[in-house]
Amino acid sequence: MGNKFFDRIFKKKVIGMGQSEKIVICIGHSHIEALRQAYINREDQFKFKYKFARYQGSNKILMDETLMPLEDFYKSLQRERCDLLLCLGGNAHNNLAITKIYNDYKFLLDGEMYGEPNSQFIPIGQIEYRLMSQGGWPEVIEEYKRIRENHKGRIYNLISTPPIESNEFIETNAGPLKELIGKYGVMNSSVRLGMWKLNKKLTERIVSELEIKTLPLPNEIFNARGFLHESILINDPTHAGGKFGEHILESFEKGAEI
Amino acid sequence: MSHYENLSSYCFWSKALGTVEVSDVDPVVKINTKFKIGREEKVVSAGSCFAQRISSYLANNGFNYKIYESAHPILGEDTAKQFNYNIYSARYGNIYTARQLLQLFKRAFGLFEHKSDYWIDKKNNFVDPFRPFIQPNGFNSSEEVVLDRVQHLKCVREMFQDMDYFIFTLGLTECWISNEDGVAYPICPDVVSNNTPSFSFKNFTVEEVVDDISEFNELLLKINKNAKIVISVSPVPLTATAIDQHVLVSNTYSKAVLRVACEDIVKRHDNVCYFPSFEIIDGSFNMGVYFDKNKRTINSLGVSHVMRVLAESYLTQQDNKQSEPRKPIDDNSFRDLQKITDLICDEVVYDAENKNSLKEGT
Repeated sequence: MGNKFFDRIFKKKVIGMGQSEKIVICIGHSHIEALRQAYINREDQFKFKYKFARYQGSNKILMDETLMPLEDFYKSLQRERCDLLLCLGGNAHNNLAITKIYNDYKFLLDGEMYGEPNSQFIPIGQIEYRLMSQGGWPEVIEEYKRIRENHKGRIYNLISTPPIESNEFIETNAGPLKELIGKYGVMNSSVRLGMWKLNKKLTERIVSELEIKTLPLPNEIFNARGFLHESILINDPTHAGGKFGEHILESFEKGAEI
Repeated sequence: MSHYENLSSYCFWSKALGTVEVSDVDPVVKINTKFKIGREEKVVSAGSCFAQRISSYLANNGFNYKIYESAHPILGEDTAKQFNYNIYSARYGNIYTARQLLQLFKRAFGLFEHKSDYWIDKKNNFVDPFRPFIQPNGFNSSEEVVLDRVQHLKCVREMFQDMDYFIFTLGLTECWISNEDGVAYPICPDVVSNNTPSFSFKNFTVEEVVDDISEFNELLLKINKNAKIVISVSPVPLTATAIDQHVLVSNTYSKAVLRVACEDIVKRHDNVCYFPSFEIIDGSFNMGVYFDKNKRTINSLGVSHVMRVLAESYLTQQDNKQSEPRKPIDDNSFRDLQKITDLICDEVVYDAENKNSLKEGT
């Protein structure tokens, strides 16, 4: 496999006035499915060529339809000049903010209070510490570092999907969380929003230290209160689908340096 | 017949210490124990560094040690530990002086007004002047300092109103006092911050310590008429003295003042008794065997001697046995919380739009 496979994957097709077609490899966990779905739906409408590499456990990655050792994949990135679009992890905040396993809580983030007004106040430093120590965050940080070490070209990072506002929607589209949500109920939507914003802030800080650019999220994906826009919901409590992916890729293509 | 002929053997050094194994020395006698603590009775604690050792022991050995300010369970045991929960019954950090304790009570019940709500530490974090090390890396804003403190003081109020026994370890007489409002700080402000209100050094006298504890006790009894207090003096010597003299001399003054103050306080108040942890550790009979190599911190041998005597003296007979250690906050709910990671972190999105299911390659 090795070189031949990567040659096929990364080979740049010459188009038009001697310009190369830009290849972007999207690397990540479950949230890159939205991008992949968008690309499947509307491949011919995007300017760039996208490849999708999704982590499979801790040491393998599924590149399009080929499962390969993660180490080999990272090494291959050393040779390539394509851009990378990352969306690693992205659900750590949901662990603490989607099911109402424990009582409500509230916290102050950038001057705004999130959560139930009469609940226990938690200083943000404590939530930050907790958030970063679970939900795959420690491992995700390592993967960001390894990607940066192996790829000297441009790397962009996509913040994971904003939260869904409606508790009722989450309850009826609970998917893998059906049992837990049935048992405990859904957390206050304000907590979901605040925790997503905190996770976003921490992600931006971490990738910035690695000189990875954060992709701005287009306005179209948000409703008026900053939640995921109702028009792009799919039957999933935490992920978005192809429509979300289309907005992201369109926005990426407008803003990305070519 | 001389006065001494009728005295108990513990009154004689040769019988109570000279011929007794170091580890068997028990300086608590009936007169020191005005009461016994039942297994169900609510015990809380505060004080200087050594008090941390006491609270940890109490929590795990037959006492109904109560925590009134817990971390939100969503934070988990590790985060709670990092952020200094469960060290004491509420998250007040170390309380070194009698004045600090009195002011804590008064602040909790709205009886003491202070002017400075926060400090900014040398790393530009917001810090609570009353407990500057309670939040590692500080708070994010002055508003957060105040919100957390309001919540903290509510827990302190509940603690004093609800508890049965308060075990307090006096640590220091040296203290730093705000010139603008009289706040007694737990640390010299300029160690933490470059920008604090002006402050002065204060070395409390016996009378001042007695007055502060007495006032605290009187206020406590107004809101909890059955409350009882066990006071002790920390055997841990001063780390440093602010006075230009040898630290050993300052240490001796400090411990002597606190020890004498305890004696006076116990005589004045029926609901207060003295526990001689200081004597067990600092008594010459043990020839320093309970100190670590730095001659300051107490080793586990010393701690276990103190705790054994404490349990034997204050727990009722049938209760004086090992109890179940305090349960961590991780429980079934916490395990459910962990499950979410597995369920949503990287599952295949199974929405209707997902036309191409993923296939494993070679």
